[in-house]
Amino acid sequence: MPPLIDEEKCTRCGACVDICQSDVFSMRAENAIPDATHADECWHCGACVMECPAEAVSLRIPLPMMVCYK
Amino acid sequence: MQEQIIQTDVLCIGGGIAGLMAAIRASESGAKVVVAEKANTLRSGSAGLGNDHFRCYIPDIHGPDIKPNLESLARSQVGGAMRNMTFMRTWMEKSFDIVKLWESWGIPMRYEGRYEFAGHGLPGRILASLKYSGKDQKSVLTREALKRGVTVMNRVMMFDLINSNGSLVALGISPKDNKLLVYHAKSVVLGTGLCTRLYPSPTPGWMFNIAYSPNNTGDGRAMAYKAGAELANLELTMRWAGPKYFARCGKGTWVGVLRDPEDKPIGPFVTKPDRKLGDMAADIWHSAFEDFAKSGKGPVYMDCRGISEEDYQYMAHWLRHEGNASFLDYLEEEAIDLKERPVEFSTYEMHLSGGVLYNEKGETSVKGLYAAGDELFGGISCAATFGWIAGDSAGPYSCSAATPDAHEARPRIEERKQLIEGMLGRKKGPGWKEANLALQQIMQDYAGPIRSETLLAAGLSHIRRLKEKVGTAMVAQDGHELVRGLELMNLVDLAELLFLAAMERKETRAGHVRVDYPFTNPLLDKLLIVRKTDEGPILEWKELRR
Repeated sequence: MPPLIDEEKCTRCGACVDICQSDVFSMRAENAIPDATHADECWHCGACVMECPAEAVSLRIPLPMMVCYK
Repeated sequence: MQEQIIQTDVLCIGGGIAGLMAAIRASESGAKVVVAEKANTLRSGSAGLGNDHFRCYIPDIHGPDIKPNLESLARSQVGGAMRNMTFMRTWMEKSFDIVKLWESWGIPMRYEGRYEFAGHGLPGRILASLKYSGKDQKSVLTREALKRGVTVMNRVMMFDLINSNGSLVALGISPKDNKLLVYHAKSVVLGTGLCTRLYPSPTPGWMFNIAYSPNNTGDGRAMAYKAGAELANLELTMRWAGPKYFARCGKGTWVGVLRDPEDKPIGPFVTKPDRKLGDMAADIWHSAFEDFAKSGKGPVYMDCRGISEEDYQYMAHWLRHEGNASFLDYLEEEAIDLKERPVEFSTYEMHLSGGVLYNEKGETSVKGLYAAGDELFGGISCAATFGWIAGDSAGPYSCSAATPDAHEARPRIEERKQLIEGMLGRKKGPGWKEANLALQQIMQDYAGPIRSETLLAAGLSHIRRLKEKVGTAMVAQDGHELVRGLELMNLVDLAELLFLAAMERKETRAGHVRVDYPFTNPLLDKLLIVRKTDEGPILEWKELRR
């Protein structure tokens, strides 16, 4: 379930927590890696991907959103 | 629960395009302005990831006669049905000023040095959509608001508006520090966007896979109603279309042809990809995708095959600005090449196309209460233009208005506090997701694509039972769930009003399909108003000034 945080790249700055309009992320403790607590409320807008200064966030688009092509 | 009182001249509820534009303009009159935003103004709402086309009239390009632009607007998806000519003329006349303002603030409104019009185009007619690079528009507007001394309060869920003897008292929750915020404002501008999450998304049980922001839950409409303002045409609905299963706005940005499985274009407008026109077939023929599927002739594809590399780059550039970045990234990861692969399009879920009735000055029917943008309908250019206009009205009004007297709001504030404490304190009961799914199934089955007197009457009684449960039994385990719970209360309030309005409008019109009245009645070419009285909601018909 999206979004995914690369723990090695994450600097724990909290930018994704601040920016997410669906309030998907939370930081369980000071300086912890953010947790996608409410992942099923993700709009897949990609704001967290864009705003992460460490490029540590990526989206995995879930299967029900597969694009149907010919 | 701790309470904090915030005094301000102007309170903008919602920090989207409309709210920020209102805040910027109102602050220029010397008013003290606060923006209360549910998420973060930098990336919140439907415009948070950007937009790429802005409906406007530029005399040097369109010519001295504004009429063709007004006609195009009246015919458009965001246009005419509920607007009078004064409103539309004001919008178009002001639109270029807003374009120039945005440009002066650093939002790129030109393409390769010129004003570029493309998309949503009919052959031989004017093009009214100005292409612009709006990916970072909200950070620009936030910066401009802050520069003018506006206070931006992020992560505040506004949920109630009390009209206390002519003074407006607005209530919000700051879930992070568990505070009730009580705003005493001389004027309030509503700009909370559209109302989504009333109807199920195309993916069963997946409420957040929708084209518009799933966090826009009609809070402004519900608050306007509570404060006594008129809501218009809540029963009329709208459905957008785009890539099947990956719900995104922006079909006007695609450079392709809508074709059936035999590669035959479904519409008469284009036969090969045209960067200037796009394909208007689905704008004009809203039910096309369903009609093809029902007749066994579907699916319908957006087919970009034959597009030049240059035109493909042009389209991809604009899709990125139209909030489709994650969609493009997905295509790349999955190696789906639009130059070779037609992708299926479909119609998305229903959402309201009615809302808070505001006029060409941004005024609602309640003194000191203003609204803009998608509180009714209209898209980005409407939000920008009427946000500005609402701020232009609210600022000077507040500078001369009396200090609000919040005394009479106290009983209501206490009642709301108890409701919140009840939701947070209860150990057992339904959560917001359960309530939202229950709401969506009632909406779909009783006020969905098929409506009739008996279905609506039954649905209304179900909604009222659900409303009772939501108000007395819902559980919130933390601040996040409290925000969602308060959204649910607003949604259920609006659902009840929608049922009442849908029963009153005994005809078929604009996404309101009454199978017992399968025709459009020209005598009902009017606004259906619902507003709150001491005796409950009342419905009234109002002539639409043409």
